[in-house]
Amino acid sequence: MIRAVFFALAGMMILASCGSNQSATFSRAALEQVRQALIPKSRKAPPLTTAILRTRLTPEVRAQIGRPVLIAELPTLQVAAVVIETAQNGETTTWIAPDGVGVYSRGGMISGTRGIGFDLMASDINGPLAIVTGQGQGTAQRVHHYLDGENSQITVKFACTYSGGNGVVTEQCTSDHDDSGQPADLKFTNSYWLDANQRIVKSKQWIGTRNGYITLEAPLF
Amino acid sequence: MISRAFLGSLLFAALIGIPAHIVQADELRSVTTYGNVGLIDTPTAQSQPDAEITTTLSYIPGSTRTTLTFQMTPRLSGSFRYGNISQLYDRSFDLRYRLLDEGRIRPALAIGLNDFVGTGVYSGEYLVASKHLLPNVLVSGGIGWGRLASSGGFSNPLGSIDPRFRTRPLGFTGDGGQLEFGRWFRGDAAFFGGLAVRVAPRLILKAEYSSDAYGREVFEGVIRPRTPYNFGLDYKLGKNANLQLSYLHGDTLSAGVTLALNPKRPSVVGGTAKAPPPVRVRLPHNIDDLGWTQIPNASTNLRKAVREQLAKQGIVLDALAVSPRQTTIRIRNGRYQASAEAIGRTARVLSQMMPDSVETFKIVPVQRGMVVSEVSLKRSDIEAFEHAPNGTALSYKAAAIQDAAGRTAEDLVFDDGQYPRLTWSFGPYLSTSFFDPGTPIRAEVGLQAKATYVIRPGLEISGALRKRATGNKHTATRVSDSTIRRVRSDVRKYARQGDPSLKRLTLSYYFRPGKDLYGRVTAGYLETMYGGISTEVLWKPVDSPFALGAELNYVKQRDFDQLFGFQAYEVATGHLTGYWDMGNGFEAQGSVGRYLGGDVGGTLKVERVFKNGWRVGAYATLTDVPFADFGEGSFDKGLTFTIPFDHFIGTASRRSASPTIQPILRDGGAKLNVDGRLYGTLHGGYHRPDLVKSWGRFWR
Repeated sequence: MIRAVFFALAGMMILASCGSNQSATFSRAALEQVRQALIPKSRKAPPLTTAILRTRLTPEVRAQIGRPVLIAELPTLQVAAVVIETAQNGETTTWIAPDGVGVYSRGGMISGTRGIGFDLMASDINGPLAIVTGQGQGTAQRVHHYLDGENSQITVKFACTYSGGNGVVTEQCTSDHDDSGQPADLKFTNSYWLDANQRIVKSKQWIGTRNGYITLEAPLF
Repeated sequence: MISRAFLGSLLFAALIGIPAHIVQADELRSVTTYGNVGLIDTPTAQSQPDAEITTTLSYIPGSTRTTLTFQMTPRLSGSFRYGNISQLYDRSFDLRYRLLDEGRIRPALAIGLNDFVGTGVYSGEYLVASKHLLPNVLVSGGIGWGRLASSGGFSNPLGSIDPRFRTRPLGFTGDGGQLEFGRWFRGDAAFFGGLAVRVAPRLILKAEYSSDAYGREVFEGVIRPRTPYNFGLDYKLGKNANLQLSYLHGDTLSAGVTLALNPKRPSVVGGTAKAPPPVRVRLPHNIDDLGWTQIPNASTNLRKAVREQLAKQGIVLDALAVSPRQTTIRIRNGRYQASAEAIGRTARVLSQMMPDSVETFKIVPVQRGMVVSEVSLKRSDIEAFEHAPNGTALSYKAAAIQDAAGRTAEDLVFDDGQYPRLTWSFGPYLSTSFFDPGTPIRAEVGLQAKATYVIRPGLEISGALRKRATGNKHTATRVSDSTIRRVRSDVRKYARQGDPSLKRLTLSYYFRPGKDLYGRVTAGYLETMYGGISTEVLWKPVDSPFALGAELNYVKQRDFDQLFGFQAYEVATGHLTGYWDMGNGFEAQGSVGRYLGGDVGGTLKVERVFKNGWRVGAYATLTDVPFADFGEGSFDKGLTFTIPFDHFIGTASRRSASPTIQPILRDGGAKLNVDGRLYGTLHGGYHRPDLVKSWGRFWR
């Protein structure tokens, strides 16, 4: 409620202003917040989902894009998008969604995110990746780096165990700290679906306490 | 007697061992009618979370208290309160220090001073202990002096140390506003205490025995206490808002609202600004290909491409130099509060656009036309560290940060349309003033036009014009009673007569006189009340937490109508200021010099500085104006804030607001308000201490 009032006031001040430049981003962001705050939930368009995007990604659309794509969904925020491969640096691929959200992955395993807020800034996933795309069994350590509210780095170490077979690997990880640096009893379970060449083609991966899981899948065609 | 028995039973309860694991889970915490952590009237030994800023508005018929409390450190908190009891308007300051944390058996212990400067209506001191008996049950008890011993008092136990403790001097010194340490912990003492119970996740019930007799309120006919007992509740309205209701002293109902804000908890950590452009990795065999240098217009085309890509990131290309192995780029960051993020995004854009043979990126941020520092990065490091797990530390270690003064690349070309350039804005403004008795909040809205014409780097003409639409600032009729030269206290005359008003019209020049040095000359209508010339030199080495500034101004007081005329008063004013970034989240500034009234003295300012751009501080100025001549408050003091907007909007913005709360605006220790002061321009920017703070966002 307080937020709504704040943004409504800010929005009114901004709506009535004009100028040579400078405030463009601030204005757009604030107006979007005002719009979001004022529209009742029931009237917002139904959220996109992986299923919807799957039907939209026809071979023609794929051909038009002309680059590898993935369907990404963030159930916690009720958003889904087609992310497009935009760069390769070593083994890491940068995928960018039309709205500017970025996902970094190595061999299908997410190593970072950008533009969601509360992002996974970087990670060490050497051990987990080797197991998931290898024998699918064992234990490994996963290290995630986040930011705190003052832009300092927070490092969270997870102890993970792996189990699976028949092209599906499950990764169960625990940590005694959360991504704000507070003591916590943190647990998550990731799932990876692999093709005959042991490549990850579909997955459900945890990226942080605020954002929860991202699902990624390669289009079928 | 009742109080002792009550306290005794509480202490007994506190001593019967409570399992440790249930204590610290979720602290049971609410605020008093005085706006600090406690029960209803009385304090507890608890603190707010570090850095929490709470605003409490509490009301009983005939009296209100508005309190701003800041948890300065995990243990130390300070409050500023403005309130009225009937027609008496009063400002007060409190301090509280938590001496001991709550343990398995040991209660938390805190010492506090209420209303310790000024006229002392709420003045009192206390020592208090608090303990969670169960996770949802808090007991608290303490001993108070002053107002906190105005009911149920007994002879001061400290009197056995020194008999002088037995009596508390009455009244206050001079015109108020001074430290009244001659009264602290003196006079009768009294016990107070109570209990808080969380009965539902959002609801806390409270009961207390209060040693606060509400003396002044009784005198003013606001309350007639029938019992020393208070009962109340705290209801959590939302994540950052609480409602308090209480029944005070068997006589009257009180209602209050508390809003909380924490600089360490922005709405979106890291922000929702779009993902940065990815780093382009070169193919090894292209690195020695210099063929591009033979292409006609190569550098012009490069400049255009870099300009366009930087613009998408909200960064302005100021100038560019490209040679076969190295590029120097001057940028203006218009979007990122975190200065390192602007550097990181610029490096990414350069990796995209620069020919493969260019290995060294020298990024030079420009502020007010002055080159600030030069951040030199190896392109191969940028390629290698983009996705490295410890890329933040690696990139910081690999970056060479040095002063950019005198390091102009030979082939540097200013980008088209940068010099000269015009920026302008037109829109509504909101202006407020506080603490006018009878109408504590005054405001006005109107239209404001601003424009800046930059002739060449550092040289600019800038102005602002306002036309009031409506409001009640100009209807304030109170006349200054100041007996010294009215250098500030005629503020209401300026508000009344200045419509339309020329807020500012200046020609300024910002320059780098040499390594580690920054200079400024500003002439014209400097601020609403003064015009003239202002000059400044600042010594601020790129690696140092210290800075030293000298400012010299010759100004004339402007006419009340804030147009082009001047009054007869003119003065030479200036200061020598030392700055110290202590590196532990605090920054100190000390200055000595001559103030607007011609008075000579010094100002000390201490700020808690957050890495994300928030600043919360307090200052005090003492000059040779005698306290009696200064008038109410005795000397100038105030609270300062810098509030970055990205905290609220979640996406990237460099905008911020810097309000000052000056409880009493008078004429002693008054400083000139000039736009573009050098330290304020540079802090939070591109020197090493600031880049370190924001480097976590280099790869953001």
